[in-house]
Parts: sequence; structure tokens; C-alpha cells
Amino acid sequence: MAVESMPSTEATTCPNCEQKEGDHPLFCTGCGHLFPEDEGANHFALFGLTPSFDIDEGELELKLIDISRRFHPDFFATSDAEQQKLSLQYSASLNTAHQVLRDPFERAEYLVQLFGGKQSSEDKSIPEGFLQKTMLLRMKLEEAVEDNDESAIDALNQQVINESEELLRGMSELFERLNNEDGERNSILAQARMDLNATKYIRNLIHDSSGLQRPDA
Amino acid sequence: MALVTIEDLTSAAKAHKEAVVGIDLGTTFSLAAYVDGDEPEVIRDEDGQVLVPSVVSFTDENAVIVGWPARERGLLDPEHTVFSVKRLIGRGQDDLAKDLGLLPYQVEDAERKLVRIKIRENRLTPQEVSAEILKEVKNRAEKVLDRKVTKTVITVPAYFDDTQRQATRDAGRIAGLDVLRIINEPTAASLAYGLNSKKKGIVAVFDLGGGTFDISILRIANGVFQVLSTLGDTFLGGDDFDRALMDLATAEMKDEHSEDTVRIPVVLQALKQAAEKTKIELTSADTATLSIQLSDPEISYEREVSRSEFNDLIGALVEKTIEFCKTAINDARLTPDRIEEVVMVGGSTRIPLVREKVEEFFGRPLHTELNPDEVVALGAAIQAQILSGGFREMMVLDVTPLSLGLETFGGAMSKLIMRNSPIPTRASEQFTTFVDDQTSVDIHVLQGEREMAEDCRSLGKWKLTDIPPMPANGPKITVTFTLDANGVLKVDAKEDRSGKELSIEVQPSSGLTDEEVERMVKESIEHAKQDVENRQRIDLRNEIDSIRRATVKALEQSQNVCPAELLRTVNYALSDLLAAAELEDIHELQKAIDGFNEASEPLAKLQMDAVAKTALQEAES
Repeated sequence: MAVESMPSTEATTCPNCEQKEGDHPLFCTGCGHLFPEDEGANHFALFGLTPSFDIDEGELELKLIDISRRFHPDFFATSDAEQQKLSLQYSASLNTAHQVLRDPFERAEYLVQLFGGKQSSEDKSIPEGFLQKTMLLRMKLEEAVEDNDESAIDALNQQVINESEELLRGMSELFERLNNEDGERNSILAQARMDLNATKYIRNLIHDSSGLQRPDA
Repeated sequence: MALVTIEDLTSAAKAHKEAVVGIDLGTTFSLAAYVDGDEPEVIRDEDGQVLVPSVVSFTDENAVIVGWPARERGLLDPEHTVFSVKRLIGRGQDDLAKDLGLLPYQVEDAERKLVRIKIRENRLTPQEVSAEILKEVKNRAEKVLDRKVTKTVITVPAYFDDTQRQATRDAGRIAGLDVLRIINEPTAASLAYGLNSKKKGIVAVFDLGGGTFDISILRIANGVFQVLSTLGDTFLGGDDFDRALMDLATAEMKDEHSEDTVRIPVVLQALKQAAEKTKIELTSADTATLSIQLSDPEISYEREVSRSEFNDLIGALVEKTIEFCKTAINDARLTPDRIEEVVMVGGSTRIPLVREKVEEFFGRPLHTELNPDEVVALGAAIQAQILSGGFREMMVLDVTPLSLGLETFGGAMSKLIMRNSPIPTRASEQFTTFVDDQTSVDIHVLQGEREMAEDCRSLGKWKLTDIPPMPANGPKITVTFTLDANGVLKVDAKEDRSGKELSIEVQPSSGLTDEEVERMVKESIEHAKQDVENRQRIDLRNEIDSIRRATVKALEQSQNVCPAELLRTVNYALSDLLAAAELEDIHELQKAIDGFNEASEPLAKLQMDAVAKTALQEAES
């Protein structure tokens, strides 16, 4: 996992404790004072990570706890209004970033955006034959639920999971290539866009299938 | 030159050092706690009492009585004795339709979708009534701690929505409190549970109180209390178990009495009290008597209830709580076997059936060693301490219980923030205008999980104004929704092309506007002095009544030994005292009492001597 501490920009002097250097642009590592930010740090930067698809989700959870300690409003309850405002802002940013980064599909979507790829509203293409594949799966699942065929349901669920995992593997490879600048950037991003559009169908299927199997939910 | 005593100095110092206090504002009971040194402690008055019944009674003379004395007035003045006001706070008229029929006090529909409680010529909001409870808790705390109390942390059910949280905060403001944080009850309980112990692991907090139910799944590790999921029902608690018994009684009473009789306020109040008593008895006994006896001998009811019968009556409700547990565990992406500890919170967790079913579901022994009535307040005190800079290794990471979103065209609910999202959190949405030079846009904000807006809880309409005039579809308005650490919503809006921050007017669906709260805070301050006086007047009049009873008895007993002159003096003094009881001025009342005590002192002395003499005679024989 590519983990780096924040690239140091100009050494910030903390206005609160006068400590000269720090390795985080948003807070003083000495006294905890929060600095106002010039432009929104991207989700990865908040966690001190370089943008990449392969991240250790366990590691991410630990970092969430560590960095939360820096921003949590509880620790700024006796500070001035400006610090309290920043604390709320950064905690919200951290939590939002975490929600995106911890989910592989959201993470991939975010990466496409970061690297300048198209949004789903701008490019709705999906891989050849994918739509038919999903529709067939959906139909078979509905039948299996109606027939109360436990083993068929299990098998189909497994198929859906396999599809999903295959897409994720593909995503991982694509972003690897993007990082290594192996191939034409725009075409890699276009492929990623297409695969991401496909994952939406799969996710809908997973969501709906659990709904089918829990009709009273 | 006036000398200042050491006492003056220390009390001045104490008064300046404020205590930050945690308050559990419960449906049935409220209490406060604070951190003394390293440990949280509940605040106990000179009689050793910790719990203050969340009951407010209003007398004919507009005096406000809170707590045990208010509870006792329940049968005397059922229409003006308000209990379980937590079930009304922050709720709209539609939510309450079911329950209102069984309340002895009157609840009315008011402006927007507010409800108000009719107390003679006043129409009080639940916020104002709750503020009275908070004031009482505050006053008691100040007395015990000998310090001013203004900064507090107040607890709410985890499943309370934005309106209910704001309403609770408003109640705090009206009571003259600076509410530093609104904290979820199960989370607070977990703090008390996890404090100081090297406890770590996945913990389920099962919180079944007087009116609300919450189940929270937390991960505790290295001082971090991280909520993974939370679920609940703000209309499920001990009151509903009482209701089950009340329904049983009223169904059977209808054989002999009319529907109207059963709905008479004093009958409803008597049934409620009887049901509560029976429910509590059935915790330790296998059978109990459910009975009411009123001053009207025509209206009575009595019946034996067995524990198994009671279990049948409440079985479905208990099952509901187990279903919630299943879902919450699922939402936390866990299975029941992964839960390592189960903590029971809230008075209703004492009920045997509840313990049985919860233990059965989780398949492990339950933690019941913490006092289920006190643990939430203790946790609130810990949170208060964290906010003051203490307990630095502890950190609370909570979540929002309900999804937040907007109503879209066609009346659907579009979710922006999902339930169980860690807070603080934020989401944005883009808007534009439809008409040239449109200067305002309305958005309807909702909380809930349903697909259609009308099935979700409406928080209100936010009107975004001061949009710079532009052709239709021109403005790019970014609206940001932020949920703070209290789980309360703040909305900001900006027109991106001009960079202009928009103004926001909030029309809460069923909460109070800021202006209304301000007014109530002012009124509360104005009435504070009067309220204290009213209370003192009642206390003094009660004292006069006690004196009357004691004196009449003493005169009877002392007829033979007391000189006629003395009897006459005391009788005159007594009638003077009783006449004085009509006075309004509390100083005059106190003077009258002092005057009587002086006049009757010889009689008192006589009595004491007689008692001593008798004792001596008995000792000698």
C-alpha cells in the first residue's frame, strides 16, 4: 500500500505554539491547533495517502481513529469559534472521505473523478453483453426465490459475487496501469468508466436480491 | 471597612468554578451526574434521592411543582399533571394520534404541526414542560454541589430525529442551561461501562427505558467508543407495558362501566399508576393485584395478574426489540456471535421476560451490574468531562440513526446522508432556478428510510434567499448539509457563479422557531423569581397544615394536664395561624408560623415533660 506522509509544503509556523515545522497541512503536530485550508484536500490527502485503488482497508480504519483524534469537535469545545468551525469542517471531511475510500466501488468512482475521467452522466457505456448477463441473472434469481430453491439461490448469489469481484480485480489492474503510466491515459479512464457503469448494475442486483429474499424488510 | 470572611471567599470561588454536569432527561425519571476527580458520580440530595420523576404539576395558582410531589398530585389534579412529556417533545400531531386518548392531561393541535398541552388558560409546548424538569434537576444539582450549574450535556435516545434533538436543546435553553452536547443514551451508557476498565471488544447496548428503545452496537478499543450501528423506536418502552395492563383493565371495566367513565382523567391516572405498580411487582413476584380505588366507590377494579399472563401481553413488544437487535447487528456487518458483551440499560430491562429474551438471543450472560437507572447520567457526566478537557484518551465516534434527504419532484425521498453514517458528516446537492430572476428556492428536508417523502419525517422547509438575479437555469446553487457532533443539521447555501452565500429561513415542521425559543427563554428568566416564590408559598402553606394537624392532636391529648389559660392561648394562636394561611406574601406566612411556634411553646414543653414522665414511670415499674 502506498502510504506517505503529506508532502511538506512551505514549513508552516503554528500561530498558536510557534512550532516551526509540521508534517500535516491541517493541524499542528505540536499543539493540535487547526490551520485553515487554502483549497479542499482530496480524500486521500486527508488520510495521508497517495491516490491509489489498492488500499489496506484495515489500515484505513486505524488511520481514521488516529486522525479523528486531531479533528474531533469534543476536543475543541473550549477553543475559540474559529477552531470549533474548522474542527467541525475537518471531521465532516474526514468522515465523508472515509465513507468513500472504504468502499471499493466508491473509491474507484472517486479515482476516475480525480484523474479527470468522465462522470456516469457523461458516459453511460457498459461492456458488451453485460446487460444481458445481468438481466438473465436477475430473472433466474427471481425464479429461484419463487420456487424457494435454496441451493439455486445460493449458487446465483455466488455468481453475482463472482461478477462483482472480477470487476474489482479489473479495476485494480486499470489503476495500476494508470499509476505506472502504462498506456494511454484517456483510454484507461474510459475503460474504467465503462466497468464502473457495469458495477452499478451489479450493485443494484445485490441490493434487490437481498430485498427479494427478505420480503418483509 | 467591611471584613470579608474566609467563608465568603471560598463560596465566591466556588460559585465561579462552574461544574459541567451530565443530565439524563428520561421519560419517567431524570437525574444528574458529575465527575468528581476520576469517577463520575450521580448527584444525590440530602435525603439520598437521586431520581427526579419527570412529572410536572401545575396548581390553580400557577405554581409549578416538579418531581415526587408532582407525581403525588397525579390523582389530585390529573388534568394538570404532565408525565412522559418526552413522548411528545419534537413530535407532530400525526405521530401522536394513537396515544393521546389515554392521557389524562389534554394535548391539543397547534400552529404548524406542533402539539401543546392545555393547562388552564395556558398552552404549553413540550419544550417548556421539559424545561421545568431540567430546572428542577439544575436547582438540585446547584444545591448539592454548592456551585452554579449552567454548562450541561443532555442525553437523548439514539433514535431521536433532528426535530426531537433540537427540541431537547431548546428545552435546555429555556431552563437557562448552556447545552454543550446532546449525546445518545446508549453511547453514554457505553462510556460508563467502558470507563477505567480495560474493556475492549464489540459491545451491544440494549436500552429499554420508560418510553423509548435503542439498540447500539459499538466497538470499544483503546479508549475509543465507536458506534457501528444504531436502531430503535422512540415509542417503545415501559409506558407501553403499562398500557398493555391498562388495556386489559379498561376492556374488563367496560363490562360494568361506560366508555366515558373509563376515560375520566382521574380514572386514567389511577389506571396508569396501578398498571405501573403491578408491572413492577411482577418483576419479583409471580402474581400481583391490579386494582384502582377512587373516592367514588362506584368506580373500582381489581384483578390478579400472573407473570405469565403479563408476559403474554407484552410478548409482541419484546419480540420487536429482538428484531431490532437482529437488524442492527446486520447493519454493523456482524453476526450475533460476534457480539462479545451485552449491556442492559434503562429501568425496563429489569423485567424478567426482557432479560430472558435478550439473553436467549445473544446467547451469553448479560451485564446488569451497572445501575440501569443511573448509567446513562454517569456517561453524560463523562462526556461533559471530555468536553472540559478531561479523560483525554477517550473519544466518542457516534453515528446518525436516520437517513437524511430531500423531497424531489414526484414526492420521492432522495437520500443524501445514509443512516449509520459516522458524524460529523456532510453532503452537498446542486440546485438551480426555473424562472428568470428567481431569488429564492425552497427545499423540503426529511429524515427516514422510506421511498416516499410523505412516509418520512419532515424536518421542515428551508428557504434559500438572496439568489442573485439571473436567467432561469443560470444559478449554480450548492447546498451543503452538515450533521454536527450532536447529530443536528445545519444547512449552508452558496451560489457558485457569484460566490454569494445565500440566506436561509427555516420553517420547522413541528419544532419551535428561534424567535419562539428566545421569547420562552426570556419569559423563563422573568418567571424564575416568581416560580421560586410560588413554590415557597406552597411549602409554607403545607407546613401550616401540618402544624394544624399536630396541634389539634396535641390539644386533645393534653386536655387533662394543660391549664385552661394555655389551651385558650394556643387555640387563639391556631386560628390566627389558619387565617394567615390565606396570605400571599411569603414573609407574612413565615412570620405567622414563627408567631404560632412562639405562642405554643409552653404546650410543646408540657408535652415533652409528659412524655418524659411517662417514660420514667414505665422505666421504674
